[in-house]
Amino acid sequence: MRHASPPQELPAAGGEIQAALAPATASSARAGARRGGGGGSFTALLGLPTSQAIELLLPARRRRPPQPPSPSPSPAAAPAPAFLRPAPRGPRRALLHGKAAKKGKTAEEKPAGGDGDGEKPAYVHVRARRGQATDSHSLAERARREKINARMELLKELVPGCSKVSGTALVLDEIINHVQSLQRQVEYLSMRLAAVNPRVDFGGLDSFLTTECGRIAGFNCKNGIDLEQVTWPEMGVHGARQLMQLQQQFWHGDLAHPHQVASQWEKRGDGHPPVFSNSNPSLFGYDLTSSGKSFTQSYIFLTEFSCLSLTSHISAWLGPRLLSLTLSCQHSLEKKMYR
Amino acid sequence: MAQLLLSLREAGQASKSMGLRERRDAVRLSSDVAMALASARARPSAAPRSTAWARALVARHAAEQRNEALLRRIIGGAGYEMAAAAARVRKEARSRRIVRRSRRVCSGAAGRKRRSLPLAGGGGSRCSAMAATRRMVRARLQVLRSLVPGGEAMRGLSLLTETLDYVVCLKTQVELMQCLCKGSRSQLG
Repeated sequence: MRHASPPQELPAAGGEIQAALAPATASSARAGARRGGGGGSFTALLGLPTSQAIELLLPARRRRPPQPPSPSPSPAAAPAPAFLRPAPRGPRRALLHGKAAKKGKTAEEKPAGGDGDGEKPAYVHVRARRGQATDSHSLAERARREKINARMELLKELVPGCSKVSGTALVLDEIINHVQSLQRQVEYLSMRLAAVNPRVDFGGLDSFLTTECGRIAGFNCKNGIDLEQVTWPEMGVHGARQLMQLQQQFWHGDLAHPHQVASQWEKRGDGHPPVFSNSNPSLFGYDLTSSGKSFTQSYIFLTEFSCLSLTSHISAWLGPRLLSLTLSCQHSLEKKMYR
Repeated sequence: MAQLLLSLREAGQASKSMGLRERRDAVRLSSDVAMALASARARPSAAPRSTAWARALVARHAAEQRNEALLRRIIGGAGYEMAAAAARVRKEARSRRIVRRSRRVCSGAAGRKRRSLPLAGGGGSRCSAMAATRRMVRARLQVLRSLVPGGEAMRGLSLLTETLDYVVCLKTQVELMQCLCKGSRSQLG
């Protein structure tokens, strides 16, 4: 849970109260969108520029404590203390009781670490709605509830047939059914693939994959994401050539990826982007040295579909990418979250 | 990710000695790992370094001994060591969590009885309806937790986030596998 990490990141003045406040303020600021933007993998697809755009939008209305996106807790860390954290609010000098909860009135929260200064004050301007209590408890709760509602809406969009259903429990029902059906589908398909596979070598499979996915991408491309459809079918046709050593090279190159990726898992630092961008040129190096065989290029596209850390230079370099339904879905989700 | 899938499956099929069931499991395993790696890759600058379900999934696969060789080949020796370590850690954490939760449930059951009675008496029908919905939601969250890998660790908001990610990746997986199916079928026939 994200609440666990911001306390670590704050300079540790003002003690626990401030730490307790910071997650609250962080959560109350821009409830659903920013968090969703930070947390969802699909948001990472559009990469940094959009989150920066949001950051630019934010100070116009609110100011939130400058916190870097929090890394997730280690798998072993029980987030139970994080959930207990909202409970001890304690003696906080909330400046809210003075201000009436008029519509449009901004309430300010000041951490009690106004005692402990030298600490950057975690200001959050939050609009207090009419008739609602403005103490920090309910604000934080409201922020949390808004976050939860935002997530539920996203899930409702994701899961087909959920938009008619109202009420959390029924929506959750639908989600559960959907997840189960997806898992069963995966099992079934894997069984089928396993049955089909031993007679097929993977050389020829790839050309068909490119054509198939190119077609699918063509049909499913939405929301103005650029996909140069013209080039795709040609590449599919060209990709009929299979050079075994090319494949081998490529697979070695890509199997090197997981090494790097897996090693990044335990690192909490920012080593990830440089590693990724470094490893990418190696892939491209393979591609270029293979004199731009479109066949391997399709591989790259397929990987880049999921590896959308996509800084702009990578995307420029790549050109067309394979976009499947999920990408368009994610994009629409992105739009939802930025609203 | 499709490329990953392919490479992994190729690695999986390299050992042709498997029967159908094993092959299916190998396929599933490889695709799961591919998904996990893809999601780990897709978030270099985003908040969690890699999703919790991804880690849990790989840890779950790593925990089974027979997958060891395949996994080792797929994610490399170093990655496999980490996955094995994660699996061990998860096991300990899970047992600890179960103990803690059972303790909490015991105390909570006693407390809840005391709480719900005055609530039903004082609040009227609406509160009891809300309590009923609350209970339903909790039950479903529990089911969801059992479904989503690594979900037992999380509560509330993070669970929904993980579910979102997981659903997206499952959809991707399904589509890719369908693609592959079609492709291989068209190639054969």
